[in-house]
Amino acid sequence: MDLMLSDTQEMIRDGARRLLADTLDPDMVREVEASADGVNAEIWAQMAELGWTALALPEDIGGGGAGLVDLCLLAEELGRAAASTPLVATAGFAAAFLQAVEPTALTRSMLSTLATSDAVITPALADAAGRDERSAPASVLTETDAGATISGAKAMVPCASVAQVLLVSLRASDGEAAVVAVDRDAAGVRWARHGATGGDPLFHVEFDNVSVPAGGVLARGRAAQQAIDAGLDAAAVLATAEAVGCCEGMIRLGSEYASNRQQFGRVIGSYQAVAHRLADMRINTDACRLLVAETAWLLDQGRDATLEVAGTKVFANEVMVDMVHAAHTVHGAIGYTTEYDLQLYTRRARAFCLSHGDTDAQTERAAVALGL
Amino acid sequence: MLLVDMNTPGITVRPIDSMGGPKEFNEVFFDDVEVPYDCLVGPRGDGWRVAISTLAHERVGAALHARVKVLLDALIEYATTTKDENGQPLALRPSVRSGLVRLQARYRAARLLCYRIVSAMAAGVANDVDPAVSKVFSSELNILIGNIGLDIVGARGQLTTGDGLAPLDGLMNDHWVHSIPQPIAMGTNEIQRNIIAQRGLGLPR
Repeated sequence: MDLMLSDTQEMIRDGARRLLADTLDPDMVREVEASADGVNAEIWAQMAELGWTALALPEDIGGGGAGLVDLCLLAEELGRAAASTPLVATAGFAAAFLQAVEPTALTRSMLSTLATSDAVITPALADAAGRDERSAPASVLTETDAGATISGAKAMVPCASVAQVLLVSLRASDGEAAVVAVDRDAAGVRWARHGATGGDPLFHVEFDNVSVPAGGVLARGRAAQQAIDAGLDAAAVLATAEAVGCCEGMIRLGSEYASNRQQFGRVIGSYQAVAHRLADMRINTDACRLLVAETAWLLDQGRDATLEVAGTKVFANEVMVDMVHAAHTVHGAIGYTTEYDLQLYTRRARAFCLSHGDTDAQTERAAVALGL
Repeated sequence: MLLVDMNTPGITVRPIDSMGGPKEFNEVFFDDVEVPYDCLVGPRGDGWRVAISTLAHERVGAALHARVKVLLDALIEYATTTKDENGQPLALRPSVRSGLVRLQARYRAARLLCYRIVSAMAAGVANDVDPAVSKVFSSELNILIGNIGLDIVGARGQLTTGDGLAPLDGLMNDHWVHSIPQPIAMGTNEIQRNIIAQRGLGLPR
């Protein structure tokens, strides 16, 4: 693993930073948050046009042939800009999930769609009645000779209102888990946006006797669980990269503020009580970024990286909670106002800690992988 | 900056007894010690730069994270093979699982923070800030593993090396003692944080 960025990787990072600086400012972030869909659709379309969203997909289907390591650079820039896009759901979960299941005409066609368009495919895993995306699904898949239907409700589905396809986890009649590709526009699918702290638009999605075409069941039982894990691991790593970008946003704002704000006749950044909080943010953000890079690299090598994915998430959760409050401490009262930009980052970072596997869930996965 | 042969007449060494044992620190007295001209390191008047650059190498901190790996492996082995009063391995306790997972992730981060400096040095783009980041992180990790480790081994963790009942032959206690100076040695962590804030983040002095 190379800890220095290659020229190509620097190009990706700089290109993304430039595009986002040119097309997105904090006022637009606020507008997007208040909009019905909650995503930067133009930025997502531009990124797809440039091939960035398909960076990690194989070249033979139209992707960039790079890896998760490179996609993480992009995610970090999105985090720095507080952009809201389907990157984690689509380029993270859906791409990894679809490559992990047994290939069919449908999965090939979906992957090729992801590689060549700005289509959004998003996971619908956490049941409305369940705790999170790894809880056993309670929504049901009913299969008869005539075809299959699904019924139930999913919570916290990212970007559902702009999605073409939902990857829905269900309980089949034999009690096993199954994952089904559902056309978001199919009759019987209804969605409503959750109120939520973070930047990702999350939806409550109901399935009322929705018909599933033949071939729509993508995986069952153990294979379904493994493909879900592959998707969730890629999503967790990408989301952590995005959160690292949010931390960079907090550090930038904090350093600027502490360099200008005067109290007791001095700029507050000259006080160690303030400066050292920011130094700790730098230390922990760097540590997170390196853990993300190593984990992404392991996944790109096709290695089992359960310990690294889960451990990285546990570490990021712990230090980011601290960073959020350190950033607010440095800013004082101004940071609590919505007209100031800090809250755009701190809300996202705190929501991140609860998403993609909370601390308890990822601690348990890492502990098992550690042999405990 | 001078290199001085410790066998030169006029040098007196007085050991300073410390928590880490009698041989770790010494006071060295120089009474009219003669040093040949060729023992000058770098140009005369430029010794501070030599000292600073040597300290920057020291702060890379390779030894600090490598030590953590040895302790972590010992703790995992201990937790999986030691049973509590109910016959359950310690490794099944939520606090033990959480502690070891946190330490393992931090060990990886400490290793990467160290290798980042080495990579930058090899590419000729080293900076002052990365060693400071690595030093703070790794030294605080050593403190953390000492304390989590002592909590995992429990009451007998205070027994010292050589006592037959000391868990891991006093390894965690010994490490805890030696972890105390780590945030102080090689430039205190507070000085490192000043370096990070001023040179890394551009904050005023």
